[in-house]
Amino acid sequence: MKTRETNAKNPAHLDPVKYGIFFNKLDEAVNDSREVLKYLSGSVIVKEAGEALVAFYLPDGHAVDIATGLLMHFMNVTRCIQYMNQERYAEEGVGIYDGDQFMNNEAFIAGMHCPDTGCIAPVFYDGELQGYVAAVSHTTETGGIEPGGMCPSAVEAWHDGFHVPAIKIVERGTTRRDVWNMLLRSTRDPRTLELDLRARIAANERARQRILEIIDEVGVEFFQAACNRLVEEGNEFFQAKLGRLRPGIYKARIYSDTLGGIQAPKLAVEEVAMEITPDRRMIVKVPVVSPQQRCFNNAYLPAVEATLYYSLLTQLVYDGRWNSGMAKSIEIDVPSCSRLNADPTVSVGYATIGIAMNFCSMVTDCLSRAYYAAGIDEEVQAPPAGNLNCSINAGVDAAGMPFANILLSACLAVGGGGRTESDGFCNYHFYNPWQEVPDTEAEERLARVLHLCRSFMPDTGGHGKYRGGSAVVAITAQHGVAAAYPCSMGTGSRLPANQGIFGGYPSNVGYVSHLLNTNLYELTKQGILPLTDPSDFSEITKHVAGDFRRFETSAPTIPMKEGDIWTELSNGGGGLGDPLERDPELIVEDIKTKQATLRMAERVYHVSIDPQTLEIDYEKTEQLREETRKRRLSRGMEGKEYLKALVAKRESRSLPEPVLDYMDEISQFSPAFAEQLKAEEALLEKSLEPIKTAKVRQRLFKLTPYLDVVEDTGGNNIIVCSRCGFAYCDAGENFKYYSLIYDRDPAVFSPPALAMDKDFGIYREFYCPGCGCQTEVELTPEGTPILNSYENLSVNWKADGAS
Amino acid sequence: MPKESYIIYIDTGGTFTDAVVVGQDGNFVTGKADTTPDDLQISFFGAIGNAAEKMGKSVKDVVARASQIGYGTTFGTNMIVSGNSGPRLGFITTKGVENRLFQWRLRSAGIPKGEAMHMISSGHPAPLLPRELVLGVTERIDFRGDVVVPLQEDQVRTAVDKLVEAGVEGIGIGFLWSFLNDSHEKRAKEIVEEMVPDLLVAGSAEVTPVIKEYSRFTSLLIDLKIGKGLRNLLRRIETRLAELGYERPLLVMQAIGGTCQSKIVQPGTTLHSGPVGGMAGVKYFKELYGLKNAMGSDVGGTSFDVTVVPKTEVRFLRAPIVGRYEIGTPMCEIITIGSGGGTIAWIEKITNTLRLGPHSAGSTPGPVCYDAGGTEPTVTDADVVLGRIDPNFFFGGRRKLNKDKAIAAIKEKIAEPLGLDVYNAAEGICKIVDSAMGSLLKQAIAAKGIDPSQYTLLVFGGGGPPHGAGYSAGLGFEKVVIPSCASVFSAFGASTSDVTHRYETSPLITISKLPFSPITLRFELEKVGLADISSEAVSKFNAMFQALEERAYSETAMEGYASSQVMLKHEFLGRYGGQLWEIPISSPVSRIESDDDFRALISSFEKEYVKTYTKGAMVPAGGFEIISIAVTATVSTGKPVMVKRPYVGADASQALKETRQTYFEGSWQPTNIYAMDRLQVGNVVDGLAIIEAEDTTIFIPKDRRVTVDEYLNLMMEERQ
Repeated sequence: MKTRETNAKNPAHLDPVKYGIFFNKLDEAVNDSREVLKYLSGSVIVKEAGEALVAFYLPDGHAVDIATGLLMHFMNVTRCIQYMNQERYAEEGVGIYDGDQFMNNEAFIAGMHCPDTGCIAPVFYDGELQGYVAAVSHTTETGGIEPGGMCPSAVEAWHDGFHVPAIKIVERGTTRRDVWNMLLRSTRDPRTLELDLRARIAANERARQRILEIIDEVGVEFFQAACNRLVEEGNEFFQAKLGRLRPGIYKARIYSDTLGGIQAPKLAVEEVAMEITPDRRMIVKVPVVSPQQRCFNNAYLPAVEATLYYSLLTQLVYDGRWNSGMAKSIEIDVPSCSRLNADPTVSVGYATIGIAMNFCSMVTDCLSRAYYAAGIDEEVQAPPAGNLNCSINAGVDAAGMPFANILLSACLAVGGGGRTESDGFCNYHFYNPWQEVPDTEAEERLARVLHLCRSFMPDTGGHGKYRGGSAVVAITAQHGVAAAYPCSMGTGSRLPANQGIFGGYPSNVGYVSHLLNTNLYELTKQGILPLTDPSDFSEITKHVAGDFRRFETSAPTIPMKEGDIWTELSNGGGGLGDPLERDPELIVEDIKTKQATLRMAERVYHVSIDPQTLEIDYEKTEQLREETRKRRLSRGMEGKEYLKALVAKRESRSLPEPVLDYMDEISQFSPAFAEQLKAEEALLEKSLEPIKTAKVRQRLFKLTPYLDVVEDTGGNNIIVCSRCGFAYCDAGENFKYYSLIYDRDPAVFSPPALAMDKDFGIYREFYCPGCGCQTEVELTPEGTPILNSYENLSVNWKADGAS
Repeated sequence: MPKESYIIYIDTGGTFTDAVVVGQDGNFVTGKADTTPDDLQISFFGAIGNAAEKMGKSVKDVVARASQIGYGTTFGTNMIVSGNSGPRLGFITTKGVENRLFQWRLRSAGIPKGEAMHMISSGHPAPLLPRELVLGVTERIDFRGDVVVPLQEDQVRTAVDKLVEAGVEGIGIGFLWSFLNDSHEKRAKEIVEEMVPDLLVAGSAEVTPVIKEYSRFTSLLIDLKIGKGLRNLLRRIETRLAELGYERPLLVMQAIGGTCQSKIVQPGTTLHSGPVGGMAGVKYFKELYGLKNAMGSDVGGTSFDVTVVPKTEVRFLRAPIVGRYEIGTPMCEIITIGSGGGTIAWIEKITNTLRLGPHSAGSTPGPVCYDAGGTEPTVTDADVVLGRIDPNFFFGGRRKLNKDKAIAAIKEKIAEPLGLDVYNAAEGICKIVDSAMGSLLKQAIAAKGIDPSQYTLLVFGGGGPPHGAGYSAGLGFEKVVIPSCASVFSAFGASTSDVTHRYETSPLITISKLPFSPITLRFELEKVGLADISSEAVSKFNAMFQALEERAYSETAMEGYASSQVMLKHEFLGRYGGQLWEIPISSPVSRIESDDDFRALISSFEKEYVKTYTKGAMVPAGGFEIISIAVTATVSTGKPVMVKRPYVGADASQALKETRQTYFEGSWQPTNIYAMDRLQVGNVVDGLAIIEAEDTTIFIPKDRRVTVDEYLNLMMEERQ
């Protein structure tokens, strides 16, 4: 096989007009082919939710241009091509020929979990390999131990279903029917598998033909140089964007509670350190992360890589070239055998929208902090929901027809994080800006259900000056089935997989419940349609009789019959800013639109609103808020005192059992975590006395909405409160140790039955000792070291073009 | 002149309102007026007045002698796109799904892909009504159309009371599965009518009886929102027309590709109806010239629309978007990209590359050369800089263009950053926009499995003729035609439309197993028969088609047409079992009564599927499904007659205005400039040349030749 040398041509001096024309054509080709993939698919998640990717790659695996739509897997294909190169596929034994197509669903090589299936086709021109086209989408059924490919009962990789590591399924244009038949035999739903495979093959063929036409038109030399140029531009663009951010390390931490549908919940931690270097590179490390577990909520490294890239594509280089060029300036370091870099033996069934999505939430947190510290407020948001919770319903319908499909009506309508000028969106996922939330009617027909309720759940957006987008609850009955076998996958039953930012709170927890042997149809005969109100979610048995069972957010496959009911809840986004600064008018609007309740608003936001007329008493509200600030000042512990108590609790093991389990495990597994514990002990030797008052010579930059980095008259760079001027500490130190700190039981701020489990996590609130404003809130297991979100920030940095 | 000698058509666009007055001899006069958004009636009559003036007549003279007056309006589209509030509406829906309209379906609907990728700033569309005016009532129908819980009428009454108290001016009723069983919606509507007799009220199945509640509910609310204002406007226009002596019904253009009498027009069908006029014109030309197939390319100030008129019937969009809303109302398939004359060229600073769009200078401030405050160079500016548009003959000289400002803008913003000469930069802008439009055409061709050598391309809109040669280059069309009325072609086309109604519903028929060959992947039709489909499915198919036909005859009867005048076309939307997206197929039968009927349906589906997606994409193992069926009723109306003119000769010298320098392929070259209105049948104009009409400019590159045909339309072809 003749392969061109990727960097052989000098792409710097291309005719700009011809180059523009070339790009238009290439972009149209991949987007057009994505439409083919979408329309021919048999999966709800592809057609109804828009999850379909088509892209063109260089022979070395670099993505040149990707179609808009599902962004999650474009780097997976890069890895797959690299694998094929490493395994010398072009040589005897496999061979890469014109008209071939390879299928991969092996997540350890190049994916996130088994259902994510890619077909990759080489593009030859005059016998020379020009690159590959790839079509990737999710297939609902992969023959795992439970229907659906995201098996909550899986504990090892082989439970996830069949593994196809870049196997040739079409050779020189002809389907390999023996391989094809093997694949169809490996799944419970061969019909959908075949539909989806045909769709990918057809999409690749469309893309291949159109790319050949482009080469015919522009000439092969120009085509190669232009492709290289596009990748270079991707990198140049990324570096230019990094040049707008203040160099330094930005850190975020998140916790996960879910192992699977059959295991008890267990705490895991993930901490990301995102370094932006002065020479415009990004180094993403996960210094602290829990070890891999025998469960379905682990991720292989390609999933983490894919998550980072889609997060950057939508949050940093959205206006650049959409390709893998930025990979040239990114380093990723994740400890082996951890929850985020598991070995190939463990299950990763839920990685995509579970633990890997937690990582996206942290990347957002880090990027938002970097944006704010660079003065780019409009790009800042609190972490969105760090997971998607969904169910799969499979079985045989009343007419004897088998069915299997994913239910996405609650899953996909999750909350985005609060922003600096407005609340978070609902229906928000960084991996697919073109996401669609399926219709009730489409789901009811395909999955044989009756949705009783699909509604926003009030008070689930993380509280803050600007709250997160709300979660959605789905209460669903089996309807028109002879037998059904649903399973549910999710996380966040004891503590949510996200955080707030700058004083905002994280979002809600959730759970799955089953109500079997119900009297649903007796009620409907009486003209009653029960459980249509989101508030019924937690009081289900008051409305319908049956055998109730509450699960965590994942539930294994449990047989159901007509009229049986299950409930699930997605997650909201994190809040941004001190809740005491929330405009009361926004609260009234939330009450009117049923995104919030007055009861919770009074508790969190300290507002005075007439329950009948919803009129706001501004004077009383200000008075209530002032009293709250004063209470913060009186109940908050000084940093040193808090730290002493924290260390003492760890030493005496006066911590809840789940926390002790996790601390013991992570202390052994993660040297970085052990270092953090030691560092806090060492801090006790310091006075940790705040500076308190300082004369400011000049403000250097805003670190957060409540904290400025300034130069005092003595030439020292220090952190001060932007509201009252209280001086915390030197700019290089963690201001949190100089704050007032208060541990809050999260149940106080949670809707009924959705209280976080304080044995798993508490709200650690940080107040300004001067004025009582809430600067940060950590959702954290008690006893965990205080996070330093900023390290080695370049104080005197100026943005590109700044004078 | 005898009475009833004109066909008049008015097209209200965002900037201009166009009028076409066609005489019995096929000659036509065009008129233009600035659109008056506050009262569209003014520009409606202003445009007619402008045409009448050219004819030396009064508005009354022209209107009173019209045999037919049609109207295409952006009233509804503008109202929805601009967020203009319309009447305050309430919505009564199935309890439990009150939030459906606020969970959105496609979060990035209606915004360019670059904006969608920047998720933090690309918000949701504004809600069509406040959440507190959405009330749920107990009722439930399931996916089979069976009643699970009967409508609780007392709850409907309570909801109506609440909404009326909240001051609503209209109520929409949208229940789940109402397209399969509309009994609850109908009863709820009756209750509203009983309680508040004059209140505006409609049910979702009545407006758009198709599956997927989000778009069905959205269609209903948009219909109610624009309905009142649109009906008022139409009523006022009709009154004025009657005063002027026109007593026939006013016909209104619909997005489904035909007109409808104003008294029964469903408001939602007028959305995006403007470009559909162009499609009707393409269809008219196809018949006029006896073409096998035709495509239209319409370049306006801000958009480039592509329409396909194949051998069989036009296609309808399955998920049309108006503004930021996905709707269920059927619309002719028109592919739009944001490339028009006003498209802004810019340099992406980080990579220093030339980009075009998606932003447009629109009509205000417009291109830099308009000298109305625009600072960003556009495609029109590039045309002026290159000498393709004469700055002193824009709109026939009515608008003077500032060429110096265009040069300065392109120099500063494009040429200097790229290190190019200003003229090379301007030519680059034109080439890139031509390529973007060419790519769209190519995409349309590929997606529909079209062989361009079998298609004629029509180039129209004010911005089409300057770039038609560029964007059609290399695509291999059989012919390229530039109509003599290119700049008002949509209005002209609309005047050729028939009265059309389209009715659709969803029977959801599944035939899960049919014999097929594993080698050819085709169904083995000889083994297929009525035994393979349930009798319930057959009854549903037949009964639903019959119900649609009855509705078609009843509504056309209300318009005064006898059933013998009505032509019905039947269509179904089919797919392989397990697929989630269906393709439209012209139905060979309207009833399934024999094995052959059933085979014919399957066979027609297979043929269309292979044509669209190739044989390799066939997946017969899951059987076959009929998701929706549709009936289109057409009543032929009077049409303009284009008269053939006698051949004069190839020599076009009588139309030669001047020879001036234009910039082409990197150098200034002498270019013959011809006057469109002086060209005669048979004249041949070889490139490099420009033909100037009052409201557009036809650019003919060196490798093209234009011949004036017997209708004075221009045929462009490659020079041998």
